[in-house]
Amino acid sequence: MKLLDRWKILIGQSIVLAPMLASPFTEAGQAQLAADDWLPQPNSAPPAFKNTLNASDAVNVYAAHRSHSSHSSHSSHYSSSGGYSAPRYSAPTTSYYSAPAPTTNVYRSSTPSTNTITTPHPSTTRGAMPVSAPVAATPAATDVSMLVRRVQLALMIKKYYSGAIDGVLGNGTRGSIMAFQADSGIANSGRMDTPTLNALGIAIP
Amino acid sequence: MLRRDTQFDVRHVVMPKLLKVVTPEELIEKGITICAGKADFDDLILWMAAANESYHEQLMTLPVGGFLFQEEVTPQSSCGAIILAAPRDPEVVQPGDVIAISPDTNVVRVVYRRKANSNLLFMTDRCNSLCLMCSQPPKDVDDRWHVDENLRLLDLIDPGPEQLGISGGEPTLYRDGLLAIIRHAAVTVPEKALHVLSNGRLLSDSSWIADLKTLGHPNITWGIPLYADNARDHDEVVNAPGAFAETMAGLYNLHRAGQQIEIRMVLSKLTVGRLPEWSHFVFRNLPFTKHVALMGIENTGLAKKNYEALWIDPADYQTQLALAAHFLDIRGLVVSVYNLPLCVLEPTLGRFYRQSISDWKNLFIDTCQACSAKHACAGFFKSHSPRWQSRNIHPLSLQELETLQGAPYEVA
Repeated sequence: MKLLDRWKILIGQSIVLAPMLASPFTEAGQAQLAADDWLPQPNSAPPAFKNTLNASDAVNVYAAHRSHSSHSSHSSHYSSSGGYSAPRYSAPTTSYYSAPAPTTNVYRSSTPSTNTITTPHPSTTRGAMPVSAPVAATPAATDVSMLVRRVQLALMIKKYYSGAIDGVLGNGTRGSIMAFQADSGIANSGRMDTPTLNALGIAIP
Repeated sequence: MLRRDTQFDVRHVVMPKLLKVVTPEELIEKGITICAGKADFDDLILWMAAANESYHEQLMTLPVGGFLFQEEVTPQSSCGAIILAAPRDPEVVQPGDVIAISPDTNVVRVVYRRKANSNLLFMTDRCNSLCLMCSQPPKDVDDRWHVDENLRLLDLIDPGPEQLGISGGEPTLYRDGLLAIIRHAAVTVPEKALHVLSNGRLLSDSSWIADLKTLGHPNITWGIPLYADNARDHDEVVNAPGAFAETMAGLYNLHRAGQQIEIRMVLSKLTVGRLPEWSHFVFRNLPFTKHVALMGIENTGLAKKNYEALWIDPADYQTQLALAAHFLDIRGLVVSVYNLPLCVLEPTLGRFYRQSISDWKNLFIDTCQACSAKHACAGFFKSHSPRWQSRNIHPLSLQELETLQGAPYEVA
């Protein structure tokens, strides 16, 4: 063959094959275009498809006695990517029910006096109800008064106490506690000690 | 079957509120620890039993959030606390329940029921799909307040192990709210297993993966429906083009994030045709599935309108159901069959059967009175009608129970 013909064949074939060089860029294929840092994208690789036929730790289902629970060979051996840690989302402190009922305002303005409770009440208001109430808002004094109330309630049901359920450890309450302790064979201390609380059926805290 | 709301005579409600119903005895015994999370006495409503009437007056001096009476109560001007009285249906609200009250209505909703076999955190009425058999037809409303209500609810429920559902609508539509609820549950009630029902479509966004990895919840499962092994059939069932691709991408993202996945299938005329192929697809492409749930259809919501497209007598698909269930079971996937009456089930499927219908929405028909398996049967949905009844409904005899394989006492 003459040299010119060889050259024509060579050039012709090159022209035909040239589009093949660009083919990697025409596919939206598995090989992703890497980012500037050339690192693999950790969250976009396909997950492992280990199943009971091809997993290296798969149990031979024909040999083993089938149990009810699934085999742990299904769990992916996919390594977790370190590095990125999402910021912790804390529960919103906005008052819940952020869609206010339209009648609320009417109710408030027309009958303001019924909004307050006449009974002694801890510090929480009837306004916004924060979801994450700080612990400091419930002082220890309130815990004690609640415990006294529970004691007074229990004594009332057992007919030892008939005064007000006011959370105050006064003479009447103390007297009722002592009477209960005497009847129950507990040391007569007049205090809300553990045997007394147990006998009244009050779990602590 | 018990309703979830009823009307009361309501007094002194100034803002929407969740209240925990508590008896004086429980208040004595447990105090505020009756609630699982941060709560105080203002969140309690005291159950005023008629038997205790002699000391009702003293009880009303307690600084609780309100008082609940089963009978009518004469108004007492001295007390400004919330009063609920004279319920139309006195069985609905019981001690231990958490109720939601609002100033604009006298309907009291039970958002958590102590004696229920399933409690639900309802996220939203919105959904991005429109499945033909949707039992909770979506509404286009801004109901973000559900998120706050659920966060508050988690603080007031009973401590102790149980399964809590998270559903809607589509829970992932309120992404930050859903993540906050799961994180709050992990902190407040980690002993409760969470079961999120989602179509998984929005999870195709891979930015979810990092958020899900940091959830830190010890026991959460994602229940994702897949209705076919191909896009055309699945998209037809969910009435949303592109849904199949998005759901598959979402499933893989969930797996990348290390989440437990349950695949759900609703058995209807549109889905049973390729049920064996579907089971093959699930095994090959989603082998990390922890649980497969094959469910009978509920005649409610949009399913009623689409009766012609959906209805097939369960007796006519037992063969495909058995093929699919046994195919997956022998390959190591856990399979359950839900929402079918026990008498129409193929006997070999007995051990996959679960009593799955929530006790607030199930019922039995006259034929069931003579059945010896009523204690183990899921029954029918409250929405049941003769149109949706299999021709094979019959009372099971003890002999038939013996041939039904599997333990009849397993519960969903």
